[in-house]
Amino acid sequence: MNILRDLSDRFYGRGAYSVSVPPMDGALQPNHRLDAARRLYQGESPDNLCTLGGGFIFSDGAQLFTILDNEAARIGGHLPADVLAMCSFEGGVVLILADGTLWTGAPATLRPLDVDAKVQLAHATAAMMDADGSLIVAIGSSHNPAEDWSRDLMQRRSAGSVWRVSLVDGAASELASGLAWPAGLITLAGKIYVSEAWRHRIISLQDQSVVLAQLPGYPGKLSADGQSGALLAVFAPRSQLIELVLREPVYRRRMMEEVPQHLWVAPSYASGKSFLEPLQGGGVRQMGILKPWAPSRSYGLLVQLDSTLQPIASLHSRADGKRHGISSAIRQGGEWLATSRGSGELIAAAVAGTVLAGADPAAAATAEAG
Amino acid sequence: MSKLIVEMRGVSKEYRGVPAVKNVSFDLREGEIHALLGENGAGKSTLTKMMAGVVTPSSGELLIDGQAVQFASPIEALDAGIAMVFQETSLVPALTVAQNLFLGSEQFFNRLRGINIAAQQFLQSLSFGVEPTVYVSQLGAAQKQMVEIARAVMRKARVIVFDEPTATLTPEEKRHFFELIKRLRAQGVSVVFISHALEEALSISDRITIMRDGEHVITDETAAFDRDRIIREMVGRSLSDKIYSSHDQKPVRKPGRRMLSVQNLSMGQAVRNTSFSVFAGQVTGVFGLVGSGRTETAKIIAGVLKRNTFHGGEVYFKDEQVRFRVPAPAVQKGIVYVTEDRKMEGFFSEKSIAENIYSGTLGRHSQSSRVVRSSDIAKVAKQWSAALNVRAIDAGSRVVELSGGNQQKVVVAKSLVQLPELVIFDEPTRGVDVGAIEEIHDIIDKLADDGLAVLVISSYLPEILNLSDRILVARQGRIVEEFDARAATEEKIMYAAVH
Repeated sequence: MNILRDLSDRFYGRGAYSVSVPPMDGALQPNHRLDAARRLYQGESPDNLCTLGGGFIFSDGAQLFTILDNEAARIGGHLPADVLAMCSFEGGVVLILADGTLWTGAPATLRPLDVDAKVQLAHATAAMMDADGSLIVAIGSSHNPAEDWSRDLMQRRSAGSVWRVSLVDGAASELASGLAWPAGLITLAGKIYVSEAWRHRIISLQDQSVVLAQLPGYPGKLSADGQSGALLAVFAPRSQLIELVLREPVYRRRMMEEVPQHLWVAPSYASGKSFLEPLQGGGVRQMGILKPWAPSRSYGLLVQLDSTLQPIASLHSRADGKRHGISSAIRQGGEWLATSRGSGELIAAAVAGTVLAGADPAAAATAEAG
Repeated sequence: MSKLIVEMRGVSKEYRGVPAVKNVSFDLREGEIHALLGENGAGKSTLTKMMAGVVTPSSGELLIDGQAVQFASPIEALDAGIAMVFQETSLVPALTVAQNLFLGSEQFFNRLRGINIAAQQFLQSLSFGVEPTVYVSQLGAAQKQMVEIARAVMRKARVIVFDEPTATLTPEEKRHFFELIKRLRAQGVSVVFISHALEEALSISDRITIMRDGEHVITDETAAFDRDRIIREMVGRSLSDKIYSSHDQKPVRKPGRRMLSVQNLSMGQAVRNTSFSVFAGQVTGVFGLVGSGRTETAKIIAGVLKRNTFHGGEVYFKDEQVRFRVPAPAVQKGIVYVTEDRKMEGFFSEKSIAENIYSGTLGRHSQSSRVVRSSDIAKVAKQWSAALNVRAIDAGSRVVELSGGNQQKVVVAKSLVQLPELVIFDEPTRGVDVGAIEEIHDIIDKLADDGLAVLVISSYLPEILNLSDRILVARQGRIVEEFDARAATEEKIMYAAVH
C-alpha cells in the first residue's frame, strides 16, 4: 500500500513529493528588523556567539573576539583552524575546530583535549554544556564537514548524530543518530532539544518527539533568550524552487558534478553577489507588465521561541536586505546579538518591542543554553 | 450634456424588513460607462437588479427616457432596452451559441442553418470572434460574456448592466472585454459597470458612483477620483455601531500552537498558490472581495472542494499532512466549516432544531449504522440550544420557521457538537439581525478564549476588525497581506484587498 501511495504521490506531486513551503506568518511575519539593527563588528564569517562571565565572545575564522567600548577586541592567539562550535562554562570555553580538535579552558589559555575518535569533531555544528558538566556535541553529518552543509542537503542525507563527551577524559557516548543535520542544541527545563535542519524542525532528544515543525527555513543554533525561552538562528530559507530541486535526484547529481558549488541552485548564507549565480533573469508577466523576480537563495531570520519552543517573535532580513545567514544569537542586556554569515557582521537589535503583547510566558522553566 | 436615459429617484429595497438599498438616487446618461463601486453588501447589485426588473423596489421611482416605469420582470425591462449580464452567465451550456442567442425569441418553425447564419452575421457585426455552432459549455469565460452581451444587443438593449464582468477573466480576455465595452459606448449604448477592480473602473468609466451600506455616497466624473479617494469613500462609515466599536479596546490574544498550515494551495483560477497559518486560541480573520478565493480555500481545507490534482499544494493540520476528499474525515479530525449559504448547505429546513443540531454528531462517527435515540437528540439539542441561546417555541420547531439569526445559531450548534479544534466561519453574520450578530460574535470570541483555532471569513470590514486577533487579506486567489489586529485599519485592509 505504501509503495502504491508513494508512486501516486510521486506522480501527482503530493505528500513527500510536494514542493510546498510553509508561510512566514503569525509570529514569523516578515519585517526589516535585522537590517535596521546596529552593527558591532564587520569581519569575514563571525559565528558561535556565547556568553562568558558578564560579557560575550564570538569567533571569526580561527580568531576569538569580544566587543569592548564598541570596538572588536581579539582574545587569545591565532587558533590552528577555524572554530566550528563553541560554548562556555563558568570561567572558560570549549572550542571545536575544523581540524577535528577540541580545546578547553580560559580563552587566553586554551588546552587541547583528546576525544574519543568515534566523534567526528571536524563535522561538528553545535556544542553545549550539560548540567552534569559534560559536553553535548552535534555532528551535522558523518559524510560532510560542517562548512559543506549545502552538499549534505543536496545529497539528502540523514547522517547526523549527537554525542555526550566527558571533559575529564574525552570519553564519548552517542545520544542519537540518523538525524538530518542537527545544527543547534539547548536545554530547557532539564530536557535537551535539537534543531534538525533538513527536516525543518526541533525535536526533544529524549523521546525524539517533535516540538516545532514546518519551519520556513533551515534551523541552526539555539540559545537562551534570557527569559524562559530560546533564540533560534535560521541560517537559510526554504523555497519552492529548492524543494523542487531536492525532489529531482538526477538534476542534483549532475549539478553537483558539473557546477561550482557556490553556483548551485541551493540555499546559501548570501546571494546576489555574482552575476553568474542562478536565477538572475527570473520574471513573471502580470497584466502585461514584466515583473523582475527571482526567489532568494538566502535570507536572514532570527526567531524568539517561548518556553514550549513555539515562535512568538522574529527578526528578518528579506530578499532586499543583506544580513542573511544568521548563524548564532544570544541575548546581552537589552539587546539581541546575532552573527550574519551572509554579510560578515555582528549586529545588535533592541529586545524592547519585539515581544508580542501577552506573549511573555510565565513559565518557570529555567533555560540553560549551549 | 448627454440626455438621461435612466433615472432612479429615492429607490429603496428591503428584504424581510432588512434594508438592502436605502433611498438611493442614480442616473445614467446616454452613451456613458458608469462604474458602480462599493464593498460587498453595499447594495450595488440590488440597485441594478431593480433597474433591470429582476427585483421590484420597495419604494421610489424609476424613469426611462423621463417616463416613470415599473418592471414586473426582466422581460419587461428588456423590452424597454435594459439588459443585465450577471457574473454567472445565464446561458444554457447544452445549447449552441446560436441557439442561446435566439433563446426566448424562437419562431414556430426554426431552421437551424438559418439561425446559425443569422447568429454568425450578428456576431461578426459586433466583431466577436465566437463560432455560433459551438456549444456554450466549451467556451471560455470571456467568450461566454461576449455571447451574453450579443444577446443583450440583439434585443436592442440601450442599457447593459455588467455585474462583476471581469472577475473570472484572464488579463488578455479583460483587454478584449474593455475594447468591446468601448465599442458599445461608441454605438450609443449606456453601460453600468460593477467591479471591485478600481484600476478598471478608473481606466474605463466616464462617471463613478460609490455606495456604502445600501446608501448612495457620491457620484462624480471619473477624472475627479483617484484610488485613495475611492477607497476613502468606500469604507468611510462611522464606527459608532455598538457591535463594531470594541476594536481598539479588545486585547489581542496570544497565538497558541499552529493548528493549520496551508502551503501553496491551488485550485484552478479560484485559489492560486496561497499559503497561511491559523493558530490555536486566536481568531484569524480573512477579508477579501468577491473572487478573492476565500470561500474556496476554506472549502478545500474542510474537504468540500478538491484542490488541483497535480501539485495542488498541501494542508497540514496539527503538523500532519491531510487531504480530505469529503467533509466527514475532516470533521473526524476536528475541522468544521460553517457555511456562508446556510439555506442551501447549512441545515435541513424541514427538520426540527433538535434534529438539525443532532445531525452534526453523525458526521463525527465513521460508522453509518448507529442507532439514533430520540432521548439523545433531545439531550444534545437542549444543551446546545441553551448554550447558544437559540430562541424558538420549542426544540421541535422547524428551522425554516426561525429568524435568520436563530437559523445561524442552529448551524453553529450543529458544527460545534462535532467538538472541533478548528472552526471556519464563512460570513457568520450574513443576513442576521443586529441582536443575533452580537450573540454570534460572543460565541466566536468564546471559542477562541477556550483555546480553539477560529478562522472567520467576512466581507464586512468592521466585523473583521472587531473579531480578529490577526487579519489576513485575500486577493485574486491568494493571501496577500497580514495585519496585526492593533495595526489594522479599514483603509489599510481595503488598500491591500484591491491592489
